[in-house]
Amino acid sequence: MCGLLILLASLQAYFDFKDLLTKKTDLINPQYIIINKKVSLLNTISGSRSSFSADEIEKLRAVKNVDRVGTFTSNLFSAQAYIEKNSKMNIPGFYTDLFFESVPDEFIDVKTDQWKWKSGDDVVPVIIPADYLNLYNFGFAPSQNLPQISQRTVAAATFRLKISGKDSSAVINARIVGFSDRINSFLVPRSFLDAANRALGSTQKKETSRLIVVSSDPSSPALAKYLDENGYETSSENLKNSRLNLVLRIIMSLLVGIGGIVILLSLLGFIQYSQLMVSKSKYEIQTLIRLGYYFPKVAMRYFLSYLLLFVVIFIATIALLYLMKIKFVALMSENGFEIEGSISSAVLLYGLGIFLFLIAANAIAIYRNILLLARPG
Amino acid sequence: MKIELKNVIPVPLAGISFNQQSVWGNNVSLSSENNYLINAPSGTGKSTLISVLFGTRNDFTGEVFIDGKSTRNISLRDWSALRRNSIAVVFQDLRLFPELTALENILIKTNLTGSVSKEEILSNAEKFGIADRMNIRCKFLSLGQQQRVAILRGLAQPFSFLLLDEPFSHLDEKNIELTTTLIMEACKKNNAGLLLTSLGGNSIFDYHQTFSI
Repeated sequence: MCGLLILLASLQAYFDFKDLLTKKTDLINPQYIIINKKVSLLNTISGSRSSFSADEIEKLRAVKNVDRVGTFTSNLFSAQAYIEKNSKMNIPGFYTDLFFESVPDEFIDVKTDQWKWKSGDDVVPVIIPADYLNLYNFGFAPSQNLPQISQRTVAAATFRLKISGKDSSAVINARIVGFSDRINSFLVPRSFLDAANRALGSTQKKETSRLIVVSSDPSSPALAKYLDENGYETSSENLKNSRLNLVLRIIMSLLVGIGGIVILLSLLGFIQYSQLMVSKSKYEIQTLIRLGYYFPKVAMRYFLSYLLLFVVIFIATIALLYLMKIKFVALMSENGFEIEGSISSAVLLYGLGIFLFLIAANAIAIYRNILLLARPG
Repeated sequence: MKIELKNVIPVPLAGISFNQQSVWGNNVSLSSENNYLINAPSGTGKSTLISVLFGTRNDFTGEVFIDGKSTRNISLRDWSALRRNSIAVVFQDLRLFPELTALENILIKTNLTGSVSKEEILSNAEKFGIADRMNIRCKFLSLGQQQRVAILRGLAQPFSFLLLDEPFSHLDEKNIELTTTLIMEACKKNNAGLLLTSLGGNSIFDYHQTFSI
């Protein structure tokens, strides 16, 4: 029971941590990775862009642990954003050249219902990096004696956007609808960018210089190796945790190993126990066989009584595991980690497998021991 | 049923020379039409003979044939059938379950053979003078009472041969008479032969042949 509990608890913990490390929190290990090619001196001199070809994107899609790949689209026109000074709302005047990118909507980490644009809309929603506002508030504003502004203030204000291309230009309103921790860029909806590129684009050539990758296991060595071999760069933050992840995995594997050893030991214990019980009832078993009972029938009797014991042990183990899991979930959520509240079915399956294995091993042990008693001496 | 012993010598008795009357080291034929007495002092292998004929010991040289088949080739499944239907036995050490009552000890046998009803068992117990002991756990019975329970259990099955290993060692004259009557009836009913081992002379049954060891 002890062994089964340790083994199943370790497995469950392993699954929980795996969940935690790969899916649940952006904090420890975001599943989004942004990839770009290294910019070399050659790019600077030749003016060529370090962009991804369609072939390279396809190859990346095939790498293990890469679930989805999204492309960044850039603006092919020039853009300036400006705000007229508004002393009533304490917003300073502002003018800047800008660039825009867009990624497929499913990669956006900002939850808002304003993230849409269709032809004819007069306000374009924009998402800016959260860091950008921080830079302003904590770097630029204090040094220039400017007021700090909150996310809410920024979101309340619309600014003017002047976009100009080959021969035409347009001025439209834009509003910041969110701040992204994930994507370090100025994002507009793809529908807007595609329309504007068509209307104003200096060239129709589409280049993809950055990719956004969703990975179920961003810290997997296979992915890291692939990126490294191809000279791709990524925001290394994402991969930093692979070491931590590795250590955790080793610890979990150790726990599973220890559980396995304890299982083996308890298997030996069980078999010895059944041997002891059989030899303790040696007289009764031999007498039954001399009375004409066929020995497998006697063995079955013994086995059924063990089966009952095993079933009780198994159910008790699962119940205990549930209790531990509940405590564990409570403990983790106190510390700010959300994990699955129930025991994973894989763990139950493993448990059942081990349970069946133990039963089979004992059935064989009992059968053999009683056979030995049935044979003439 | 025919049981043949061909030059059988138990391993513990190896090296001893046996006379012509002995069951050991000779060719002996036992038929279920007859009664046999094995008359020998203790330590000469009487119980061993019972074990050999009952298939619980294989440590002997030579061969034993039951209806032409060597006991070494009889499977465990066939042995259990033989013990249910053909060979009845009363062990010297009785082999009762001490924690079960006298009645339960016999029922554990009849549950298997289905040949004797509970009423028959109780009426036989009445004849044996142990009817009032039937619901007492065997470990609380006297040896003489236990011996009678063991005999009742031995008879609670169909058989062609009845092996009795010193069955009367703890019984008085009157009880010996009672039990022999019942045993003879049972043998007659089953058309069965009898093989009895005894320390001294026993003239209760008509023996076709007497062996010494």
